[in-house]
Amino acid sequence: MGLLLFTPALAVIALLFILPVAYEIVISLYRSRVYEASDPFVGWENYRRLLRGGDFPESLGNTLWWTVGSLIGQGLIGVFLAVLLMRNLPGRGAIRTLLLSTWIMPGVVVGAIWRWMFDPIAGVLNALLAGVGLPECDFLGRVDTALASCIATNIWRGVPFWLLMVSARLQAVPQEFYDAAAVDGASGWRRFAHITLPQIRNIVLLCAMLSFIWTFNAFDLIYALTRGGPDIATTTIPMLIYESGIRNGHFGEAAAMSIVFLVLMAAAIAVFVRTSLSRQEEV
Amino acid sequence: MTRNALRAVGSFYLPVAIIGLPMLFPLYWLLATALKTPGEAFAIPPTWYPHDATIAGFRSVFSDGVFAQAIRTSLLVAGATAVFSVLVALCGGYALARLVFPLRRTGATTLLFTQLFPAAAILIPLYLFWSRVGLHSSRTALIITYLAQAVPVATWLMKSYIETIPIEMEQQAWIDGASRFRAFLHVVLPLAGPAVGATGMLAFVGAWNEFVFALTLTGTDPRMKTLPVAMVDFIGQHGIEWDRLMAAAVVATVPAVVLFFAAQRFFVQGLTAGAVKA
Repeated sequence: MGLLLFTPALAVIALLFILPVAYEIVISLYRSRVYEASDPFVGWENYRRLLRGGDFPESLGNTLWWTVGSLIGQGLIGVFLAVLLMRNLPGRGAIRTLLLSTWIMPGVVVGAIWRWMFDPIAGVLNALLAGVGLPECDFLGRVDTALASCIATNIWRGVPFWLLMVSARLQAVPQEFYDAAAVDGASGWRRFAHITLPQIRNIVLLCAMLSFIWTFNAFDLIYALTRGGPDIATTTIPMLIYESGIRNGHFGEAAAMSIVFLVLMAAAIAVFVRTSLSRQEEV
Repeated sequence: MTRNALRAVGSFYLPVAIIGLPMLFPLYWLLATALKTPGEAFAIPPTWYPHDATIAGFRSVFSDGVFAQAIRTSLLVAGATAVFSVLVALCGGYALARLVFPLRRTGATTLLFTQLFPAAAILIPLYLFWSRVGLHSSRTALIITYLAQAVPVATWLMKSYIETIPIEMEQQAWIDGASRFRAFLHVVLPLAGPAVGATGMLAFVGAWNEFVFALTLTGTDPRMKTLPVAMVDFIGQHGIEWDRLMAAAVVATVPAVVLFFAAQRFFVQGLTAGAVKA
């Protein structure tokens, strides 16, 4: 009876998670320009080709910059704002609402807003640069600034989540801790390092893990901003999978990329969980 | 100004303003552009607020063939996802909360693990699968795919909520001669109202915002495009009409934000209900 009721949920999971991965491993072993029954079996060839150079290593590099840059930016700004906002800010409820709206709006919308602000002709950011006498910049059109601009957008998108999570945790820190530190004459920095930081460590680790998953997989934001360009300067692995598989029909190669992507992500999460658990034991 | 006030400005208001204003400005710019006339949206240098504000941009989003069609498609797909995922989650959540069966614990942890799963990694097999069964470029394929994304969280939330409903209430109904199903229908379901609403809303928001599957599964058929896909198409065109795009962006944002806040409120109620019981 119980199993019967749980079956629809299980079926949906199997259909979307387990079967596709199995099918994908099979696809990745075939040549597959367009997947057909007569398609030649090539074994590890697709995997070997990924390592041989070309777009994959470069977009792997992009993915790492994109992920690390976004996480550091979101984490630093989010924690900094959360600590500052511990004092009661007037209009807190309204600010909270605005922040949550930023976080919940579709990624394509975030991309559209920033693409408009980055616009080389009528964009507001270039108007600001011109206003203070700096040269204008085609932020998303230049190879050397495109990825950084995407990262800035993603930081903007992610900070509210960090801010809300960390400030919720900070509300639970007993005020006596800070009162005692004030009596001892501890400086602001020492109060942060010895009271605040240990208290928020776990929530920071949780935020980092969730942000990592979201950022590593992100597709909508970059697609709306640059579609991976110029050239492949902002192409991350999810975008390369889409381009080479869905757009160009190289299903075998795209499937191999997906499997590598999946393994990398699983490994990162495993390392992350292990280190954060062992740190916790030390405390 | 006194010394203390100066220090407050320096150590608090100044940093908040330096980081906070850039955080809020894009939201302002979205609304301001959406309310401008096409001519003013393209003004160089830009005007800082709409000089003659108009809702023509919004009107054209709702009357324009492409966006209006996309809004209908998005509503249909997200609505169907919400309804079906609530049904599946009610069954699965009740089973996990109340019944003993093989695979129960494995099933429950699997639900959580699916949340770590990257969508892009299964793009290729799903695309090929839906193409082979002839459902490529169909709303059905999209709804089933979204269902699989929504069901794990929905089931988990439903399970947690049903666990807060005292089992004694159900047992009372059994003693009065009700079958398990009738007890569920007349005792559990009415009490699970907040969870039903909240999981439905979250499923709706997830489907409404989703992009990569929508692009892959419906990207080639203009009648099947969801709102995010239609927006990205619009960005790809030459000479983007920014006032209209920003109006569409507002239209795409409002349902997500409103439903998310409503769902959040339900959950606060739900948690309080659980606390009272404990």
